[in-house]
Amino acid sequence: MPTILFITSTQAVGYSPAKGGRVTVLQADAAGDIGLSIEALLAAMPGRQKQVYVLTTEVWSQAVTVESRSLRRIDKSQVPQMLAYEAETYSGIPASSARTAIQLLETGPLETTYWVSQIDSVRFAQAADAVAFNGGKLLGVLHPAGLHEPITTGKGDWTRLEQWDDASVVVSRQGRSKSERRFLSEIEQAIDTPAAARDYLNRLDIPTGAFVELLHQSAKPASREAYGAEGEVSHAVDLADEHDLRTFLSAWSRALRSPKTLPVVVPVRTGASPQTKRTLALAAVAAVLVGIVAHHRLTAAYHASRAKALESQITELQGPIDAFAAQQKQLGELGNEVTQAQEQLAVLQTRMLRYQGQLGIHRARMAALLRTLGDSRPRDLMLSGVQSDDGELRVVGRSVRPEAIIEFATTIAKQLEPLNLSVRVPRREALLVTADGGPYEFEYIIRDGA
Amino acid sequence: MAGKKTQSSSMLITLGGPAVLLCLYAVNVRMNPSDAAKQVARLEGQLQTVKAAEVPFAQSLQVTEQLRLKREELEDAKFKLDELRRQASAMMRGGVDGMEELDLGKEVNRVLTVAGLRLVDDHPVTSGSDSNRMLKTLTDATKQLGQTLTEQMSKEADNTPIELPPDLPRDVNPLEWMAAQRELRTGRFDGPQTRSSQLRLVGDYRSMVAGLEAVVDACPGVVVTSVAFEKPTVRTRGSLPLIWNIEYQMRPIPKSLASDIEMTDVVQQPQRPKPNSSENASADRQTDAQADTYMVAKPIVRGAD
Repeated sequence: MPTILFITSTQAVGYSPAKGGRVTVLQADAAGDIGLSIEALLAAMPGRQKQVYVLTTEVWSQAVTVESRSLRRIDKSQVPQMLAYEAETYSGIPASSARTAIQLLETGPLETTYWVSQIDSVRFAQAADAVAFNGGKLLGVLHPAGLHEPITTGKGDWTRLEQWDDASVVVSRQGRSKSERRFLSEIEQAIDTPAAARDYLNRLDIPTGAFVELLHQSAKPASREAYGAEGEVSHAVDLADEHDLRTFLSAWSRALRSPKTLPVVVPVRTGASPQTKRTLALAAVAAVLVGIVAHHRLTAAYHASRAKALESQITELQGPIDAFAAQQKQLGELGNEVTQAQEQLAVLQTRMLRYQGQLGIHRARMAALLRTLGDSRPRDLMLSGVQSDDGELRVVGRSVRPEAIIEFATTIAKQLEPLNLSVRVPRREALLVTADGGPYEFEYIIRDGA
Repeated sequence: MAGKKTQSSSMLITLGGPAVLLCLYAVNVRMNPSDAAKQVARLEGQLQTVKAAEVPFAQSLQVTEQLRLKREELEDAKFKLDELRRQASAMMRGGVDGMEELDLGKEVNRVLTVAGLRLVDDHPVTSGSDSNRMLKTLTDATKQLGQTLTEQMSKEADNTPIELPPDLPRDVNPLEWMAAQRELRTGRFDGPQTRSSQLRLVGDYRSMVAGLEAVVDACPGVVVTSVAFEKPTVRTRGSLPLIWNIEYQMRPIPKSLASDIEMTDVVQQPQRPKPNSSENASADRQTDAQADTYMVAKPIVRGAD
């Protein structure tokens, strides 16, 4: 919230809403230098005041009435200049050196009345410089008259009579209408009591409402409160009293939150010269180019470092993953090798067992063959010889009974089968010596392989 | 108000150019990102992928443990395979030299003579005629074992370096040992070189049965391949003598296996020496080799009546 500086010919008051409504009161500069008063005041106030409104009686503020038809001939932007010329006679400030702010009060078919505030541009500059010197910004300068809200109460109809050294204003609000301001000609007799104020307003046929405020710039009111018969209350605001002063400035602080209905003289922003514009444009282009180059470089550097960091991070994370994959691959390869080795082992074992088994069989089988032949031979069968012939054994003999030949062959075939020997009977011949044809001569072929 | 507007518009015009320039640059940066920006975007995507593929520590530990177990399993299998190959190689190589042939012949003659047979003639058989005798199944088994051994050894010979065992005895020449290993690995295994001999004997049937059974027991390197007998044309008194004609084959028997083949009939897998027992490794290997046993399908030979 902006700081309010209230400066009259006698006192300079600072009000800081941000500091809890702290009020700083100083004597105004004796020489009437508004700049010095502001500097002294801002120096005395705590902290730096960033945004400042100056309420000062240095501003000439009055109602100016002009012909409505003359307003229709000119552009709206020229109205302040026109009113400055109109007010020049009353304010004594040359229009060429005046800073003027206007606010429409009432308009009619014939006449239009504006609330005009003027201040000499030198004084305005002094105020602006003083504020800027203290590190702040001057938001505007205006006259402390015409506050459009009650100072001490906020409800119901009200009327306030303000008596400033250079202006007398009646501000009132009836019902739900907007506040009205009436600038009065000089009051002949000073009104110093609330009751007198109500009487005065009644004499002027101004509706007062239930509540009347009296504000006098320099005179101390004779009484603070007055009560009428029908609940009417009149109150005098004493600007010499700190409480009333704080209340007054607090009301202004609230009002200046939206200063559109007030004639505030604001600093003029002077347009830049073409040269300045060119310089500014070039500077902006240069700044943009420098910014682009810097952005390009910084981005490139950032991307490079980011890429490097990402690569290292990826490498760091990829290491265990690769190792894991390699382990799994190695596991699979080892599994294959184990399977292969076990298969080779099984095959070799089988071959070895077969070889050793065959070796054992071959070592023993001739002895076993002879024993089998000898042990299994029937009594009526005789072996006459065994011949070895081209990979086979030829057993020759004779038998009384022909069936004994086959029985013997069957018996030894069973017994020789584990020895990988097979028995065949290729020849059985009756010799026809006896009546039944016997004896019988036979021949067995015993071969390798069951 | 109009002044303010004019001022604002002039400022807009003044700053419009740089603003447009700035906008164009921003659009260009947005629409055409640099290679570095693209790389960063690509790497960020890659990082997300890598993070998603991150392997939990427990899983990694589990795989490491599986690897260790699998390596042990492989070493164990290879050790058993090496042992078996070594033994098979010993059986599939070598030959009977002249001295051994003489010794074996003497032993066979002695055993048969003790059994009651009388030696009439003894002469070696020309080599290469074994195929005519009853050795087909043994020859097939020998061929299969030799072929298997040759294939397995040849596959590994090229890729597997020969390493000296840490417990190689000091009296063994490392170069000779390695040469022997190389020969064992890369050579062919066609079976042992055998020698055959023919005997002509006179004796009765029972003596021959006893004699052959005694040969089986006493001479592990001897395989009787053929037996024939005939009756003599001239009758003699007493028991009937028969004229026997037998052939036998002399096979080299590895010294470490000779006693085992004869006596045992159960296969025992070789036990891999424990790593901690390095002190007795050499001694253990020798005893292991002696303890290695093989199945020998030795038929039951019934006793004589």
